[in-house]
Amino acid sequence: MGHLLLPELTGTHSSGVETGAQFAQRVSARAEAGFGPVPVAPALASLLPSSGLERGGVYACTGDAPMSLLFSLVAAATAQGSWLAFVDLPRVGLMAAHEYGVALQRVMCVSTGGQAQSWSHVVGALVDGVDLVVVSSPACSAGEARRIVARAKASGAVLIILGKPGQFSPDVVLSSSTTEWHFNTHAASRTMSVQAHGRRVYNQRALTVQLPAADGAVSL
Amino acid sequence: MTRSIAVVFPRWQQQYGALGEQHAFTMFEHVVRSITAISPLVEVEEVGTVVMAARGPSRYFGGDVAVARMLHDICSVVDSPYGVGVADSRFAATAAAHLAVSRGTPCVVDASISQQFLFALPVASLAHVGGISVDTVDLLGRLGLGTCQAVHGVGESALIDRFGTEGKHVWQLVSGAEVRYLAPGAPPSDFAQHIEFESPLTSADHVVAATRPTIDALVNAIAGHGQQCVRMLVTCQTDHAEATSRIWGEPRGFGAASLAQRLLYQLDGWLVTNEADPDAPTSGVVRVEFTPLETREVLVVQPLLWGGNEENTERAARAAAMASAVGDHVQVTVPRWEGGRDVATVYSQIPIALVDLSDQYESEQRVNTGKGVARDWSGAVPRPSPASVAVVPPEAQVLNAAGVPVGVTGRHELNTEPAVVTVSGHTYAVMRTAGPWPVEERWWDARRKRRHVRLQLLVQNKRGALRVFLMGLENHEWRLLARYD
Repeated sequence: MGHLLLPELTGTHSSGVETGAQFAQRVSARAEAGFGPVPVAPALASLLPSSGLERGGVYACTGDAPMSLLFSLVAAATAQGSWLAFVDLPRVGLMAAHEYGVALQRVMCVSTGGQAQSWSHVVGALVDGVDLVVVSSPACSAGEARRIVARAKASGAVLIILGKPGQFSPDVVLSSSTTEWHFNTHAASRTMSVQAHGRRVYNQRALTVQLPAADGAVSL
Repeated sequence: MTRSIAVVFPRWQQQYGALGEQHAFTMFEHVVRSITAISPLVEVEEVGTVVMAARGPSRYFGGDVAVARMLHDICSVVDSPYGVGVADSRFAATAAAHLAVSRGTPCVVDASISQQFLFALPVASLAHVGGISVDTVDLLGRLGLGTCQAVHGVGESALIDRFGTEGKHVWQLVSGAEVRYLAPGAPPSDFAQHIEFESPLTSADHVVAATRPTIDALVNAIAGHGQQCVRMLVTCQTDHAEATSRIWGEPRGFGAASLAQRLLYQLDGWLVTNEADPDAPTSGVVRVEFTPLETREVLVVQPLLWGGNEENTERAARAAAMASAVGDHVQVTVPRWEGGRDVATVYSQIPIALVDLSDQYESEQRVNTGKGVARDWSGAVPRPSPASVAVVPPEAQVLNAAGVPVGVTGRHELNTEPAVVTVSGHTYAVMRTAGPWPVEERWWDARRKRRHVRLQLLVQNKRGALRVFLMGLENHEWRLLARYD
């Protein structure tokens, strides 16, 4: 974040221009948003070492419901202004994402055209500017993986991997296993146990959640 | 200050853009080529705008008015509204040309009144002619600065204080100075590159493909200095020493892909073997030269002080542009709500380049699920929606306990209880079913009508993991449409 200039003409322009107090408030909110961890749904916060997605971190979602778990992880962040990129994930169910609360106006879908050598260039470019980058079973080399993680750390992006992490070593792996599906006239919700392990998790943590809960998101 | 001539076709993009940028540029190239009869070196910043230096042609043809008349006559054969303007800076000339469109005669601004002319321009022209961002211009307007004169009155230091680099740019425009993005101390011609081919290449595509490594090297070399090129002189030469030179402008900075595209446009209009065209080259291209004329520092992330579009969105848009510059096979799209009952087409994907991400209202409308109301349609898939939707639904077998395929009766009921599902080699045991939900689309239209049935299955794989599948049955074929994973 560059230098911030406080406007010296506070409150002199009535329409559409904010006052100095509002401005200062917004700047501090932005600073918090810019440096703190990316917020997640409260139900999932206790699974993560810093109660949110660490900027520059690498996460993986695996198991029975990786996609739904992903949606519930990123929904809060996109609703608060973060951008999300799905890389080579044409199968992502955007309607479901919407129901989990993902702000689709800040979602982009990227197709690398199936060329392995351009995959790492594309993902590298995305982590430079997109807050949350979701990739599926990456097949790049260890060196490329290292470079991508370094770029993500530099720009504060979060990399989330669906499926096998390949050459990446995730800070936190969230694996899900469905214990029960609840049906009324149709499949309505599931009880799922989510486990967190990985480099940054000292004691394995586990949690049982309802996905989706009554409000469409996730609950304990 | 450089006296400049501008020719604008304000409606070109609307008229020819429907078939894509390339079509618009290729069509425009024919116009540009007829204008090069007046001055060999012209600049094209965007489709529909040509700018050239006035000095040479004015001296040769006997004054600004004479040149403007000649250009006006040349353009009169073009089937699109146009205007010719001459003034003391590129910005003023382009603004004058826009004024000339409705007047129907060239607009020549005499040097003695050029400052008054600039001052009288409305502040909005900074955005649509001067390349200043709409947000900034909007803010200037809200601050009560309606004309360029009022903006000039604010003073250079205040503008730079408030808007940084862009403020400097605004100051240069309103004071009539030529805009220079050039970083001091970095002579851009250092970056000039050329490539020579051993045998002449006669197809534009071949030239572009052969030049691509040079373009990549050039763009990388400039990027290595933290700069990006905004104006580039591209010269191509044939074996018979015929040459085409063109200055291309790109206010957002050239990437390898966009530069390659400009080269393609330039050659597309030139390498046509058209016997009627006396200027058409008689041989293939043997040399391509790139001379960066202006570079500027890569825009740093500047937090916006005044609301409007968010910093995040600008960064994301830039990242998307960088990602799509990796190659033509890379596509970056954003979702748009379409509605309907089909889970795979409820959102469509549109190229990110066609969307103004900074327009918050438009972005929200784009994904607004209120339109098309799919939810209440009979046969819609119930909430929660499936999290993974098959792009090409794989075929599946749904069998009952006795191994008999499951079908649907005329009253949309299952004729037997499903017990086993096989999808792409994997076998699942069915634990529970929900549905079926019949869908009859366009039953009133004999040719386009579609009748199918959807069914949810709770299944267990061999390791005991539970899954829910959304199956579809159409023409006696089951397919796995989506998964709730």
